[in-house]
Amino acid sequence: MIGMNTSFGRSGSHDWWMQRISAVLLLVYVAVLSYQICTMSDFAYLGWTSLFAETWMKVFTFVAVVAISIHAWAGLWIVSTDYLKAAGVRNIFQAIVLIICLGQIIWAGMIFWG
Amino acid sequence: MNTRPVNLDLKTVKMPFAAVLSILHRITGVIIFFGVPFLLWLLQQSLSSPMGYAEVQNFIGSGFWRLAFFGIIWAFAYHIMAGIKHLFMDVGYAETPEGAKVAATLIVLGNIIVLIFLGVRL
Repeated sequence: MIGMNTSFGRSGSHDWWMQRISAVLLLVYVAVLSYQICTMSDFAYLGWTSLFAETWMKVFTFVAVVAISIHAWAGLWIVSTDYLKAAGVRNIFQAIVLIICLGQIIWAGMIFWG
Repeated sequence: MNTRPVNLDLKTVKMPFAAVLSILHRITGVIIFFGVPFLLWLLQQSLSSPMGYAEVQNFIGSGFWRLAFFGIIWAFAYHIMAGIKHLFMDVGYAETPEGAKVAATLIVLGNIIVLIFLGVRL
């Protein structure tokens, strides 16, 4: 019997969906952030901090960091299974990726609500 | 007897246009992954105080880190465009060799525009 082999989801198609949903979310975030930056009347410290002082922007940015972490985890999991043939090296790589992903989510939370 | 050619040595395989773009999608993905902590650090510093904001401006204002910042933004732009192509292919567009070529050309053109924009604005 073939064991389940996925990055973090219940199945490969679950991973696939997580990657797509996070991708679309990030696409929207980048579009919104670009729009905000391009239409900013005062692109200096005050304008910049007042943008990130808004609750919706804090939440959206935090969600984007969560999404990019999920997306990166799924993506780098695929990359590691393609190129890192030795199980030990692959496991260490995946562990490092996971720690960075979890770490940056906590960090993003601390930036806005720390 | 199996007479089909087998050559999986990537150094000797001539990659078609679309394959180069595909591997670039992966490479930019890895660049972005390592770029996110860098961007978070810039965000944290820039929001900390007017002095921190000025430091960030200085930091990415010239030299190696300006290039690194530029590179990460470009990687984002490329990855997003190639990603949009992926989503279109997921729902059935651009799946033929001809369609893939058109999509790949659009990505290259889009990237040239992004590079010009970044060169002017950053």
